[in-house]
Amino acid sequence: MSQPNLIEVKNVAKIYQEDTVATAALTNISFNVTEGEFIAIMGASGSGKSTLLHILGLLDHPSQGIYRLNNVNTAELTDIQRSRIRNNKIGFVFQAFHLLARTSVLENVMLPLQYSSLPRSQHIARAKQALAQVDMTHRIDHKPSQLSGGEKQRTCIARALVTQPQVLLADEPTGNLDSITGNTVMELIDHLHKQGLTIIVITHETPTADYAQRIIKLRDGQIISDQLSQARHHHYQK
Amino acid sequence: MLLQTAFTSLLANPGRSLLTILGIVIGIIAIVLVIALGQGAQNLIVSELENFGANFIIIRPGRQPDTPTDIAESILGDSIKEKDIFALRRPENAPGVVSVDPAVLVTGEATYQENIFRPMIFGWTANAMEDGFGIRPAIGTTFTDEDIRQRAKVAIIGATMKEELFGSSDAIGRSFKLRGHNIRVIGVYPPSGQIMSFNMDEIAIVPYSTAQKDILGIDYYVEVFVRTDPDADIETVAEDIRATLRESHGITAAAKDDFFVWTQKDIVNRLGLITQTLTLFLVAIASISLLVGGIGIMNIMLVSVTERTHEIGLRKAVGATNSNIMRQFLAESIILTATGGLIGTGIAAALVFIITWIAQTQYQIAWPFYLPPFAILLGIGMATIVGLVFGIYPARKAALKDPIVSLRYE
Ligand SMILES: Nc1ncnc2c1ncn2[C@@H]1O[C@H](COP(=O)(O)OP(=O)(O)OP(=O)(O)O)[C@@H](O)[C@H]1O
Ligand SMILES: [Mg+2]
Repeated sequence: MSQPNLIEVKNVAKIYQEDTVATAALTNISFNVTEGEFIAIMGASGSGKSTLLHILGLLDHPSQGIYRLNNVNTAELTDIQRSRIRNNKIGFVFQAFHLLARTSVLENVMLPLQYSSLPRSQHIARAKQALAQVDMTHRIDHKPSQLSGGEKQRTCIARALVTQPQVLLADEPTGNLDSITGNTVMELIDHLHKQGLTIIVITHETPTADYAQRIIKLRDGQIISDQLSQARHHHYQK
Repeated sequence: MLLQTAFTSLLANPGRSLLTILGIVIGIIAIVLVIALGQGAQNLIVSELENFGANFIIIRPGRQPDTPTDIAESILGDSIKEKDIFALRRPENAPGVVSVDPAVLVTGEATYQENIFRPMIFGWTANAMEDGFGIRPAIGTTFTDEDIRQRAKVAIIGATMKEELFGSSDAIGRSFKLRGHNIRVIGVYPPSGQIMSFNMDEIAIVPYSTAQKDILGIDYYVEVFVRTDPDADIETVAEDIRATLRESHGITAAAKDDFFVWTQKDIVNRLGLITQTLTLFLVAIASISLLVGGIGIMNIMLVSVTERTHEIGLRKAVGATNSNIMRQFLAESIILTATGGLIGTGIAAALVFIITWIAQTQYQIAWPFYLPPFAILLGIGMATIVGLVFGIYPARKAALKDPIVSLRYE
């Protein structure tokens, strides 16, 4: 049985044109993602992982090819529509956290709700709910500087979850963490996946990639393999 | 939400925020102060003019002063002479006229023994002083029409002048020297303070005939003060006066008038025009400080946009549109300048209060504290507009930032 495609990428290329020099960051990328999948994108530094994730997250436009999200050709979306989709369909997690230093954990998590249509009266409750999902309820009044690396990343995940998106896009979420903390963060992401969230994680660490069901490998901007994971984490069937 | 976000980021750096708005604060203080004091001074003079009553007309030589040359001509003018006074006093010429009191101004040192004082000396009539300003001597008497006819060398002096020349001893009957003439004091006015920009305590009144012919040796008057019948139409009386003077001067066309006539209403209107022009001019100068303040705001907002590149990238990644970002930064610059406007207006209000208080207590000027609502509105309004205008460029710069580049920014 086949689920509808959440993401459909067809012959996507990204070429950075700088003066006379053209860099092809991505060439001829095609793959589909169905709802509920957990995908890891792997590849060496400079292979185009982040570029791909930015395109998937509507932060960037492909130079060529078609990217459909929920069966909508994203090339036809206006900037405002793209912002709205980023807000309520996509959750971002960054390697560098990007938490606002001046505001509390709770306010950081509430940030995306500023741009959502959720009534203001529900913002705090919704943020607390997202913080409960990542087990950060006891830290809501802390400032980011008072958090450990793992706590910071869990706050970022809560911020990504707060608008209840369809897909979580994480660019090296464990890149700034030691391996034990990294594992707990991946356990958390795995847990969210089991609750039905679609997840795409960029990593160049195999232990992190092993949490995924499917691994897409990039080299020089091209997909060199797209396979189900062989890792033993998966005791369940797709 | 927008305001809360803006306040949070401004309060993150309160010292810088305050320094940034200093230029705005100073500009707004200047503007509000100029307007409030200008309006207050005008109100003060108008109310004094109104106390004066509407039944008077002032005649001066020269043309209606519209340009600096006109004003000089009016000050130096010598066209109004004794025959004009006689003509005006004839009831068939100007029926509404009650009295005609010509005036000349004498400057110079008054001395008594070792004491020297520089009073403002009017050659006038004593009753004009009494009718016009409601002041009569506290000690002694006034001079009479007979004194004027005989060019008596007598004076009624203000309280300060008496104090400076004669100290605590009795002044009546003593004579001070003025330009080689001995003038006998016949009356002393009570302390009266400032009336219409004259310090009544520093004046002396002598018969106009004495001042004109004996002290100054001239044959013209600098001003003629006419009281009119309260039942007469003041404009008709003014017209009668013009006609009389034209006939007396042999003038056929109004354009060739070598004198001008002012009613109370003319003076009030003129005063309003002068205050307005002056206020506008000063406000324009003060606005330069606002301009400088605005450039400061723009500068600091540009710094802030650069410092917060990551924040802008993040906000865009989680769904902020360009206009969301634009509005956020505009809100910040407007809050900055509007706060500056509020602080500036507050300080200006305090300064107006202090200035009027000093005027009241130190100079006995009945100047009520007055802060025109218009000045408050203009102060806060202009500050807000500065925030808007000078905030647009930085806000636009923030709004157009590429989220990916911003997130990567080191
Ligand atoms: N704005 C840009 N202008 C020009 N070239 C760029 C730009 N952004 C990325 N590139 C190039 O595109 C290629 C892919 O970059 P990308 O950031 O996607 O790599 P990555 O796989 O995420 O690497 P890493 O693991 O180091 O994060 C690189 O060669 C990079 O130099
Ligand atoms: Mg990368």
